[in-house]
Amino acid sequence: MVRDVIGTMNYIDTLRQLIEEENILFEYKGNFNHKVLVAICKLAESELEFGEEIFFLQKRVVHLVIESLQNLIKHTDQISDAEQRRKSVFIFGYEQGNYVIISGNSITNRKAYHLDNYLEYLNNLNPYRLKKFYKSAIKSVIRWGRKGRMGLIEIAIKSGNKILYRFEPINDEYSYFTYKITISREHHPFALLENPPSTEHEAQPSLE
Amino acid sequence: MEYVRQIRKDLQNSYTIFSYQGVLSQTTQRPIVSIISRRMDIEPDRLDIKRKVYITLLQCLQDVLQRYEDVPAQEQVNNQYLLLVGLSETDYNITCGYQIPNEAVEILKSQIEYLNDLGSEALRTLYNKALHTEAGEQYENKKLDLLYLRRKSNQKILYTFEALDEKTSYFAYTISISRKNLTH
Repeated sequence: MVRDVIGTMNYIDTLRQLIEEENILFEYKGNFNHKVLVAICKLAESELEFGEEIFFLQKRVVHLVIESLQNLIKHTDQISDAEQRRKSVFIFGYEQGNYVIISGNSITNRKAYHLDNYLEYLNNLNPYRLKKFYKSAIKSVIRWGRKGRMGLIEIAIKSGNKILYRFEPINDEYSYFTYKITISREHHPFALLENPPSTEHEAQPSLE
Repeated sequence: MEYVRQIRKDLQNSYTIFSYQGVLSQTTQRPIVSIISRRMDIEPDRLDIKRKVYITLLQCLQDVLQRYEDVPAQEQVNNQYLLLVGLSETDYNITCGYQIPNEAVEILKSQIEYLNDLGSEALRTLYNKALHTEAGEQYENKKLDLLYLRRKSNQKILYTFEALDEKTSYFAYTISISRKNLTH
């Protein structure tokens, strides 16, 4: 029996409540497609321009908005019941001086398992390793033409923070995947690091 | 902005499909309308109901845009403009909120109370009179906007005023549009 997706969105509500009401700039719950992506990006750009944010921060935030929305469009798995299909969520806000993106969508449990491992791996990389992983991912795209999970690497590297996430089971086949990105103002994603750590081998997950 | 918080809370888990708080301008108006339109595409409501929601939304956005200059810039609070769109089993709910000068509070209150007490026939008569007679010249844009919204929804306008400081208050109102006689 399909559990009500609303009941499984508790983590989103928890994350939302951490942002003060007046700092939720916008929130949308429903279907996501290219037209919605363009409209949301325009809203984000307007907010950033009005806030007179510096150019590079604007670009970084908009890029991460686009990545998050593309994840919602490409990787939401449609549960058969039409009601459940509408419950993808995107929240853009402001928390303690940083921009915040919260996203939620349903995915298959099989995808959830692989995604969990992948996000765990990304979150445990230090900035130097993350940057190396990003470079090897780019080479893989150039060589094999497979984009894989580049979006999540870019989110990790450009936000400057760990990706906070959770999977909440809906039924035997699907889970609800929620994640939060905090975009540090002062972060410089591709700044050179003065003292890279030792080059011990780390097994890298597949980008498929 | 207690009413706004309460509205958000009531709408939060089940019904809110869109909320926006920040700059409302000609630039942001179009993407907002686009998002709501795309959202309505997947709802089974009749076309005339969707059209009514669309027009009401545009009217609410126009209303907010026209209020922009009523409060001097130095007295405006941050992110004052609010738009919430909720969707329940029975209604679409559109909530707008913005800052107004305190002098406007009593005037707006009396206008809304007057409109809320009118039935649909009386509203139609008043609207036609406002548009087509000399008396229409005396109607300020604000009165006509509220009259239009009241007529479109055919339900009472829910509203509140909250004092922000000695010069300004926060005005928020909700327009409900019935979804009865859905196509499914």
